[in-house]
Amino acid sequence: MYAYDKYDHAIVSARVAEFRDQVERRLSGALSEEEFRPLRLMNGLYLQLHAYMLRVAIPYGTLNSVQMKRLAHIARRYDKGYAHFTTRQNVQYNWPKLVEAPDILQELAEVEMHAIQTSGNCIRNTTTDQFAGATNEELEDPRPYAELIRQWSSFHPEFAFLPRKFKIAITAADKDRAAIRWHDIGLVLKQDAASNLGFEVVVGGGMGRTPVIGKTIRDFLPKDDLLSYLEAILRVYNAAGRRDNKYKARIKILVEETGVDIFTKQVEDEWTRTRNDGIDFPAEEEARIRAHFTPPPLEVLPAWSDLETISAKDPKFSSWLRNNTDSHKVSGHRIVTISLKPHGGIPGDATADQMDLVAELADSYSQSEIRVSHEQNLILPHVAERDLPALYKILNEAGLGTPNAGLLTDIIACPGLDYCALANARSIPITQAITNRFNDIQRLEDIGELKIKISGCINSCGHHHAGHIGILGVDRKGEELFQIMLGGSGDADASKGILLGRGFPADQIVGAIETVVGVYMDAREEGELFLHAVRRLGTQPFKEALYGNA
Amino acid sequence: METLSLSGIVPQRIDRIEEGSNIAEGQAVLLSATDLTDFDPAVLSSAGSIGLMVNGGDDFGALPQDLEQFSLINIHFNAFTDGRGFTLARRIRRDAGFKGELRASGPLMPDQTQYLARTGFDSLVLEDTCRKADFQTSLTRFALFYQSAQDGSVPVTKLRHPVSDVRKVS
Ligand code: SF4
Repeated sequence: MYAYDKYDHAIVSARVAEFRDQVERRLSGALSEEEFRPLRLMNGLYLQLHAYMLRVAIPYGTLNSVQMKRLAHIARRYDKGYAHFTTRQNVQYNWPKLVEAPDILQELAEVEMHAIQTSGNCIRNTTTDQFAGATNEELEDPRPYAELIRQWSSFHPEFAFLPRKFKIAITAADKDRAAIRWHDIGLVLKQDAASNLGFEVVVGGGMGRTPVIGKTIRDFLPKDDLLSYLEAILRVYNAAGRRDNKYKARIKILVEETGVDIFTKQVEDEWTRTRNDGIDFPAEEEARIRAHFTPPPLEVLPAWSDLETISAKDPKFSSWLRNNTDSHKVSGHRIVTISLKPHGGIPGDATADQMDLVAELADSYSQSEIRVSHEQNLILPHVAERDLPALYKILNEAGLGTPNAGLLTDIIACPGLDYCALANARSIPITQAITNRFNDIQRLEDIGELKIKISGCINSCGHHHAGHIGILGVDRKGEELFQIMLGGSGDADASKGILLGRGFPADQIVGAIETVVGVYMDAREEGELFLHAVRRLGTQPFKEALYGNA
Repeated sequence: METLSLSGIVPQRIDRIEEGSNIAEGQAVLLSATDLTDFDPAVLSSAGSIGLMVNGGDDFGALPQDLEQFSLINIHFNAFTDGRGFTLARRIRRDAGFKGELRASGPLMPDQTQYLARTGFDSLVLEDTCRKADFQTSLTRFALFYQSAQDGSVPVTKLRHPVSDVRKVS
């Protein structure tokens, strides 16, 4: 993985010193709260319902065991002993003190981490496939491009005060695990007819109150032109994006209001003018970065024959093997997903002890490498098949062995009313109620892949628009109600969920999910996934089951 | 009010002239695009030099032709959160090739001076001089940068690869 050189270290240290100075000026009154706000946000510091929240970037979802241990240490020392992994490959601490925030940033900088631009109206942490560099499905490891984007976007002088936040995601695999079509810019690595590498450029996706699936503005951008093209998009957006209404300030609205053809022409014109300005980093820099992502020295092993025998004797292990491991590009290895969705637990939360354990397991079994996914799970990307039984045993004993990756209880949920000042409704207790009800693994496996995503308000941090089942908390005259939508997807065939009808009170939502699942189970064809059944059947049978024929 | 130099130049002395005021013979005056068309060309030609006052949100394409006629362009920011002025500055420098003094004004905060310098500004009108030291500190906050920029600083890619592929540098 990428390692800082002296320049990266110097830049991140200067940032820590700057923030320390800003906090001091805020405390002395030299900076007003109004002025301090965007500055602290650009360092990941939010003001939440009860306290500050610090959001730390895990650039493109990759971290090593030393970094994970430092995150655990920060959880213990500055927080209440746990941390929360988010849907954007970040980690959040819910209880830091303002005066200690610079010390936390200092501790992060020592292990080559930061909270730079994890919030605020600027270019955020670039996200990517959590299986990058390990999966056999990709054209090339996309993380070097994400690192290029990290550098180009860090303290970009022109784009620190954009109309609104700006999120970029990149994938190099057909199966889109990064939901790139739901981002301000989504990039898909592809090859042209002459086998040159480049990107499909998708612009203007986003959730929030106006969910939009991004539109392709360029089918093939040569890879060496990536940064100059991104800069052209950002320049057009910064100049013309709306600033009169925060809810219309995302690039998706600019693209819709300008029209995608005119918008594309503006970008292309800008790029034609500036593409040779030296914005793109030289080829040597891409090569230098890529050298940090050389695949780890895994021994090519034959498929491990004992695996089936062991699995046949242990149904729990067998489920975990099926659901929580994926094929690796090196024979005899698997990619392991550690579920942070224990039934009845809080999605994405991990205790400091669990984080330390994952770091140790990464050292023993996964080349010291760890990933975080936008689905709020942790990944050990390079595990030998013969180590799987031992690994599973340890994980299971630590409450990290829930074999539910990709199943109904692998729920994405936003913090909701328990933490968030903007919330209408609670997301976490609803998640807990659902996962407590559907806690039988055999039943979950029978239901198959089904992604539930829950947001506590229309801001959609829980990505409910992209859930196979989306749940949205609304406030109806002081009562929390939960609306259900069906058919959303974040994959390459991205789609928006369709609202079924009026919302359900908290005590009825689990029953409503049961009903929806029941309709699917009765109507599905052989091997048909939930999402495909919804697309085939439409929403009508689900509406009838929930609301009757009236 | 005081004008802080961001690029090392000595800021020009120039007077903001509102519509209906007089221009003295040889006076350096700062005018908006509408003022420019409103004033009698004969009066304008008696001015010592003319600066153009624009708003950060103004459309670059709608600015007067031939910006080189102006000794100075002043971009006014409506709010410190409104970053359009940074892009406008870059376009005035890069696309219009403006070489004169580029000045920022408005309720900007100390922590933005380096961004201003890097997008091509030479000077900044300080609304509150009591924080002058903070504005100056921030100007040299970062010594290293990932991007090339209008201030001519050397990006770290150049430091990492002194002899690099120049194919994409104009
Ligand atoms: S979706 Fe709403 S309630 Fe949930 S975290 Fe986002 S803003 Fe808060």
